[in-house]
Amino acid sequence: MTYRGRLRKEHLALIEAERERWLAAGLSTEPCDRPAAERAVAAAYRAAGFDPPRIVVWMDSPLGGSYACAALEQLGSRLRYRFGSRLWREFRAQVRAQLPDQSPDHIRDTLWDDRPTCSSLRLGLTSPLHFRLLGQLRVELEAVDQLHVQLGEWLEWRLEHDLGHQSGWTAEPPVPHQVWSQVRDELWGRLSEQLGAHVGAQLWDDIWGLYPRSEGARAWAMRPRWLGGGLWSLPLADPNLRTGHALSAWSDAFDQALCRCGLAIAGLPPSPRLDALAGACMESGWWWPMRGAVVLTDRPDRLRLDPDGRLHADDGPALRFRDGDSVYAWHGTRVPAWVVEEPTPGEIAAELNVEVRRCAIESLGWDRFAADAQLERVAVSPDPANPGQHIELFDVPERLWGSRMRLALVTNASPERDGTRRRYGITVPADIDDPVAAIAWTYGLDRDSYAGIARRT
Amino acid sequence: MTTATLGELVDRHGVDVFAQLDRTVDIPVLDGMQAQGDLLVIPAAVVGGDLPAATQPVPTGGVEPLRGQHPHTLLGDCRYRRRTGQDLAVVDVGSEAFLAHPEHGYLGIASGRYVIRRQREQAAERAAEERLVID
Repeated sequence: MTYRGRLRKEHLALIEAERERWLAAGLSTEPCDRPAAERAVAAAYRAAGFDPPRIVVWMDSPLGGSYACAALEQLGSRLRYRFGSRLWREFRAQVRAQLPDQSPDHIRDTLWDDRPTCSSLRLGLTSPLHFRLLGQLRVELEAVDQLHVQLGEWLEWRLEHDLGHQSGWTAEPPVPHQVWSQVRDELWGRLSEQLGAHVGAQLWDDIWGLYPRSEGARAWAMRPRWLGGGLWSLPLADPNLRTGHALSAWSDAFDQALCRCGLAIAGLPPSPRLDALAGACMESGWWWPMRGAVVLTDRPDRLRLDPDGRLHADDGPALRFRDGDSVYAWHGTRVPAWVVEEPTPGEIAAELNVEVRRCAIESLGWDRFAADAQLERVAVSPDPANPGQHIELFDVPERLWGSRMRLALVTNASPERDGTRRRYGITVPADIDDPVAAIAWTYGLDRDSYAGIARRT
Repeated sequence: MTTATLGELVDRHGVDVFAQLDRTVDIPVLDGMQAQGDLLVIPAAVVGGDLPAATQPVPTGGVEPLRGQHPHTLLGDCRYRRRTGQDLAVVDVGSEAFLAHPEHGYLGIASGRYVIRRQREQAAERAAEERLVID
């Protein structure tokens, strides 16, 4: 069966409503309503034909969640090392509270050491459910013959072409293709990758830190053995590895929103399993379903984006969770904390990663950097837009930015709150020699056209 | 048409500006090239080429050519049409229009046709180029 209907304007309203729901869930920094989340998760399990999990572990960040997953998979074998002791204590407290009243040692000695029971219990406890939950949904949708794939591609194309001229421009324009791309790009594309890279890097640092230097490399090579492979197969540690352990409003919004809208538009009955799963993803942060246990994590308590929808904050972490785990980012690039909190020319010079270096220069400000780094001034001329002020042109060496560039330093026409005028830098191609021509280039004009400027504020 | 002061324009159009700006200053209504922050209002003659007609009327509350933390707002008797790329909009001004910004104040735009264009940076262009190459 191939869907051949026409996409109509009222469908746009439906798609937008779904998009708003997912964006609200994905960008929320409200703490989860934990009982509601647990109910939603239980409903998702039941809808998929499984018993709700016996053990529910809440952590405050996806990093914490990663540790909890690994720890769960390790229950039954002796964990030789305790990672991130605070997280470990949190985790242990929760598990202990939920298992029958026995001391952890007793549990371990009697229950977990019974090898046959232990391994089947562990398997029973921790075998990943994600595949089963989503896989069954796909099977359901398969019944309408690849509706998912076809509808997905067709929806995107049709949205752009059918509705583009119909919806026109309004004061608050959602251009149709933006409806989808925002859900997909904003939530999955950028945020998940950043978080995945951060969690992976944290895990590396934390584990590396557990070993004395001499043992480091050997321990790293041995890691799958003692961590049970749990951490390293998590998709957060490697976003390309969708072995499907974690679910979230970020990673799954596009697929789930697409399926829900697709079913509605095609006039098919909604899927209870999909709706239950979507409900769970909206109520909690990242979560890992396993057969006998589920690890749920809370939402971030701070999430900052720039106008282009990229992770960015110049006054602290761009992403922060309630256990303190933080991600600093500059216009979508993950950076070490110093780039945002205290960039200095010394740190910039020492930084090996060119992407981080660029962010740090922007964070410090080109005006301060030009002075501190003693860039060579190539030319200076009066600013035609700003009587009494000048435009300076500096050379930016290749080793700094990764390519040759020049910097035009301009004085702001409007004063700051304290009455001073800020200077700001704008980068221009290296083959421009004249400061006025440089500013003209930034506006796509030739020198003389720009020089005729009447007023600047 | 008499020139209004910044304070009068704020009261008339409703887009407020930061406290440190002088509200007694007259805002000239000009038909030349004017800049506000990183936006440039360019007379059509300077831009050259064929520009499409601006068809969307600007509502009373104004319209924002550029989404952002501190938005620029286009106000007054004019019509606009969105563009893609470095150009944000083509604007046809009837009697007079204004471009307002909390940090930079108001620009007065006289009758005529203009392009509102955004500033670009070499660093940003290179990074985008490299991103394309790497992908």
